Amino acid sequence: MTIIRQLPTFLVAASLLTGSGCALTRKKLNPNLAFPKQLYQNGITHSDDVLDELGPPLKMTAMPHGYAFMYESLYTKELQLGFGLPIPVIKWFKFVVALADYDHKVLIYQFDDDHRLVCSGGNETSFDLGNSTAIQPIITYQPMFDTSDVENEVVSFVEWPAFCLMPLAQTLNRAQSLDTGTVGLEQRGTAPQAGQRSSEMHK
Amino acid sequence: MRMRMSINRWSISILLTTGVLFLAGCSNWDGYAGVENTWRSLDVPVWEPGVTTASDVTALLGPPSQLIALHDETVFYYMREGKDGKALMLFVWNTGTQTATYDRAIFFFDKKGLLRKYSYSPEVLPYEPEEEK
Repeated sequence: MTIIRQLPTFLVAASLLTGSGCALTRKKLNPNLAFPKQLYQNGITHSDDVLDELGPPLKMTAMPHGYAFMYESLYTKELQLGFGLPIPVIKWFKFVVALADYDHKVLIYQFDDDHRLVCSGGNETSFDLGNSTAIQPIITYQPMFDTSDVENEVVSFVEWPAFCLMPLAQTLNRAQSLDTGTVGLEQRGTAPQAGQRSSEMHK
Repeated sequence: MRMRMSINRWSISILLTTGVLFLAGCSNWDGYAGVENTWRSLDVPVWEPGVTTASDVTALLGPPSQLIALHDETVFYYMREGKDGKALMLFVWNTGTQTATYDRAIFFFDKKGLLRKYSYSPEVLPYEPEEEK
């Protein structure tokens, strides 16, 4: 009898405890990229063969004695688990634990001026973006990971005048920028503090 | 009197629990960026390497998203980005997925402006011509 009497309170408490907002956010970019079925051979495979199987690359760049293709696929996941406590005032807040990771698939092909394959590489890796905790109002949802550096647009359609407004170091590096498709390619998620972009003085 | 209080407690509890568990919301969204993917139109002719010119392509598809200069070739690169998302909000469990798809076409022209090679992406977005203004 006591259990039945306490059941309503138990139900409300259980709702607050378990029902404080868990969330799963997924973002997929170019999810259907598949590794090629045929074996490409250096010095033999023609760029037409790659185009026929994989289609146009997501990124392309001119090279001193040829050009290169890059194909990429990205899948980011963020899981948030929220917990609440049925205590006055505190019940309007939730304690959030969040985890995030992403799967990245990349294929690179470099060709010479005769359109023959010089070298190629492919990889599929999962990266852990870490974990995070927060206290949030109970009815809010706020992503806790900044994944913009790996989700940047493949083509920034309105970028050309914007570089004038970038920090000076980035503007000065524009001629060698890996975004323009004229001097090289860059995988998503590459830290800008090292390599070609290090001169842009990213923090 | 005691019986009535018990009923009230039950009603409120059931309402609250039902609200938390079953008050659901959902949403979906889509958006596009980039050039119109006219290359998916049924009116596009069969491009013929050695015959089709760069002018033929721009006349039909418009300016490319990117013009890429190679050593002795010019590349016209067309891309249309489509984003499609869905979300389900159940208070207790919320989930959302967004997918970005890139519909692409690429054309290689020689020094004379004649088509050498073209290719379309296996990923296809629906062709929805914009109404003429």
